[in-house]
Amino acid sequence: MHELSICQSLLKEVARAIANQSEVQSKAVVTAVDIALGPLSGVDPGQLLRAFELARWGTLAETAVLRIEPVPVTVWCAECETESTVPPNALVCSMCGTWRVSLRSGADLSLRSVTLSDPDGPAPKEGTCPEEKADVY
Amino acid sequence: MCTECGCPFPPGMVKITTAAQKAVNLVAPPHTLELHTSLMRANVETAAHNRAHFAWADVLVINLMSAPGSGKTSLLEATIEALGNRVRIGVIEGDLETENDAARIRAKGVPAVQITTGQACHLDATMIHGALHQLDLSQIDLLFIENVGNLVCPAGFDLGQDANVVLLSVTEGDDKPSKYPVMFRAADLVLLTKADLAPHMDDFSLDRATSNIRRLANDAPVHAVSARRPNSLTQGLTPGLTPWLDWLEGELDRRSFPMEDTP
Repeated sequence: MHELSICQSLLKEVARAIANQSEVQSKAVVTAVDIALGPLSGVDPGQLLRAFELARWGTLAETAVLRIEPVPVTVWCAECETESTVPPNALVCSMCGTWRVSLRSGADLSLRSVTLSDPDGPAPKEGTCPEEKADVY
Repeated sequence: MCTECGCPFPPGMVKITTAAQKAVNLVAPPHTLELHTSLMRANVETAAHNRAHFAWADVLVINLMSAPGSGKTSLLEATIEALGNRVRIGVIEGDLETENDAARIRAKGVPAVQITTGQACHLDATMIHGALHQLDLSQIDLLFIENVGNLVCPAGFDLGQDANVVLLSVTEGDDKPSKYPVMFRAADLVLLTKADLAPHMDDFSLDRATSNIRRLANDAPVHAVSARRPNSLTQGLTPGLTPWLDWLEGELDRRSFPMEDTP
């Protein structure tokens, strides 16, 4: 259960991303955080979402939603020149069955984007509220 | 209400959700900062810093990982017995509580730093950085980091080690690599420990364990060893510690004669 510490890293990266922005955006509110997550990262998406609910308190992302894009496990077989989508515990070529393959994706654990809104900006349109938890597992 | 299973949130959680919705409703149409940052960035940077310390002091660093009770500390004790008179060994111990393991190592005359993580399920690079400054690295050739007994979390955290060694005892079952693929994929060497018990474990197959590791696209060597019967190879019984000690010697040699393109 290391998802809470992963969340703390995530929130540090969010703060860092915003700190790099211009002054105009310094008052902005984080509304969404998008990450890519593969099963071979060892991080559980459900646990991460629950941890985020707690970890976001008192941070710039206090009111943000966490959106997780699941990344499939894919391997590349140089012999068959084939990419296969595989389960995390069977990294073998779907054509020839060899385990001498290289991992193409599936160990991802990265911050893709941070969505900001400026509280002093124009009024929002009706119904622009994003889903509390969209596109999750 | 929880969108995963429909269960109600605890009262505190409802408040957060309401506040979140309200704030989102109040703000302007969003704009997005595109980023591609690893969530492990801070840990990876600290691990690189640790690695620089170890390289500067010319220390080979081995991260030992396994489930609790697979025999990490016993392997270390036997390794110190076998190599301690030729190789200067140091140990960083990770456990949730107690100094027990560090005390066992110190009893063998080897410096050991105990990290007690409290509730944390793994060691991270920052903890190792704190510990390495409690050791005189100039007096150490081979540093073992005995990670918290756990086949899940430690796999994701680079500590600055040269190699990951994962232990799987023959009493645990040969399908562990399939159950914990992240950990066994990260292994540079897998030791099947307590091999002296293998004759009693007729459902554990070395071949099946190896095959399950290969199915993680991992060509790491797999060796059966016994810390309890370290010299049994000469008696023609179980493999003793020889394959492990040979592997360590190989890694130490490689460190002494680095390839030319190594910075």
